[in-house]
Amino acid sequence: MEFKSLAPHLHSTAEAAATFFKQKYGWTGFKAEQEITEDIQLRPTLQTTTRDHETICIEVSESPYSGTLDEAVIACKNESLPVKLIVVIPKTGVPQTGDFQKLLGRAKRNSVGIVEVDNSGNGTILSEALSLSLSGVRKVNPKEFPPKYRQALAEAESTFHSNPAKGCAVLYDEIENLSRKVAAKTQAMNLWSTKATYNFEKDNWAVIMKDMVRTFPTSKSPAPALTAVMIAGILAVSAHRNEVGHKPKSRAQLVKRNRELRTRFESAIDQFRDLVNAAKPLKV
Amino acid sequence: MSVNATEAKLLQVDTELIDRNPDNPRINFRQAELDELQESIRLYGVQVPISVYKQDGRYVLIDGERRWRCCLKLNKKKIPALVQEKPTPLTNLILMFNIHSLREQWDLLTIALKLPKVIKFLTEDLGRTPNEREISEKTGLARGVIRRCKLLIDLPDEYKESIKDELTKPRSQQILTEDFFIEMERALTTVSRAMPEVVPDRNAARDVLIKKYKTNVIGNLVQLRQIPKIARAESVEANKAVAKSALKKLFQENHYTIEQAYEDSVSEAYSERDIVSRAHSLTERLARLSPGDIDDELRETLGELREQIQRLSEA
Repeated sequence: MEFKSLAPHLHSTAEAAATFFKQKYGWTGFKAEQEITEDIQLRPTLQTTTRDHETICIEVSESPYSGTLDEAVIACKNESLPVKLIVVIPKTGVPQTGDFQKLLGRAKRNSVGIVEVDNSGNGTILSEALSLSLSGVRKVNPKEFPPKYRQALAEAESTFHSNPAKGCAVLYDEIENLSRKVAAKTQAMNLWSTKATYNFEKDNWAVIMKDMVRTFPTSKSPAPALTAVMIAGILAVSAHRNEVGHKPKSRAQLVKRNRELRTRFESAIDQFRDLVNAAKPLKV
Repeated sequence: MSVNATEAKLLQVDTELIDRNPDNPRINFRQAELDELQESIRLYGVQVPISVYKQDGRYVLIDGERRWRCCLKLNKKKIPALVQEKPTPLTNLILMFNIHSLREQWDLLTIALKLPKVIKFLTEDLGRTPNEREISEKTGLARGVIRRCKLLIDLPDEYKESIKDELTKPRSQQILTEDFFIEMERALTTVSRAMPEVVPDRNAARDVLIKKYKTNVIGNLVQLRQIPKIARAESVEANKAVAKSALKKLFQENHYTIEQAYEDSVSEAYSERDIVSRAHSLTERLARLSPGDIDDELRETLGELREQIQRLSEA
């Protein structure tokens, strides 16, 4: 590979990095110092595209993070570009200083991966890279939820970064479970205007929710925040339950899908929080 | 051999159409320095145009390789450039020496590695080998710098490589610096001339000194200057055999320091020479004084000196 802007003493690290990523993840076809898009002010040292249409950018440097990366990270997040940015630093065997640790923390906060590689292509992952199109997702504030839901939320959030569809699915499961319990409890309390005979744990979720929108709430409900509008919103979530497994066929589709999933994830978190709060008086 | 800079045109040149100059003596770009410049260009753009000349529909850099590299990294499509006429190979090389050595401090090895090419071109131009003054005039390098460069040029490749590796580090982290090698070469050259049998294998001696420097047996560069003094034992009428023995021991893998070798061999002789030299100087100055010129304090000090001289003379 021919490098024009990489300092000559780092060329061997770049070559070793290509070897490492090929062995570790099967990433091949790296190109040297190509632009990501016309507008992004960074030409990473190495770049390739995976079978899943994700762009892998490897930046070889002695420092784990720099201001130049900041701008590229923000641009990728804003454009929802499916880019994973990994900084490769040469393995020196020398203990790293406080400054290094600070920069490492900054890289992690920005979802940038850090890998130490020696000249033989042996690497140590110091921090995993997340897809920048997904890492811009609003962080979940666990304090907004009762402790019993926090583990599931943390799992959903961490899964979202590696597999956004699955991350959404974990969240939808929680919404479904809680809404089924709410439906069963309110039916048992005779708060629906009609008597339903569902198996609330097993019957079609969307059908139950549709019926609930139509027949609930009544003025007797001890949970006034649990409105028809809120239940209709939950019903809308059920429409996406079956979409999550489809693989994008192109980069454009991947960008579109990631944008949608990011929005859905954020809105599902809001819905779940509202549902949890609204259902509190029911003690489900 | 001149380039008419007044005819240069300032253009916005496509960064992709620029090639580095193969004669740029600069071989090492420290990452930290590049990062700093990159950040400045990202925030404020390229404030000083680079210099290029046109060749076969593309542009070749004369000055501004770091700025150009940073622009490529930042995915900038254009860079301001002064487009000059194509220089001759000698002018091309000398231009870069002058531009860089006057404006920023290059690593000495960088200059040293290109100096033979300058000498070759100058030899062709003059029809004879240029002398040190001529090389200095053409390149803008001080003659002392040229001499230091020659010491580096003559190093075996493996040592040049180790300097190159060292130069990639920030200056504060460099141990085996160019200065270390220059001091070491000066020392070994003197020893080889005065006592050739002490250094039968120069690389072995280098390796020992490098190891001793890395492990702090040699504490600083200045200590290396004592080695030539030991080798010139005869000039201060010290015992040459003792000096040889001390140097032989010094060039072996052990914890024997330069200071110990100096102390064991020539320290007293140099100290004596120092006293003689000072005594001569003092005698000359005193001879120029008359009794009325001296005050009580000086009279008292001279009395103490007389006592010491008498003590030594009577011994």
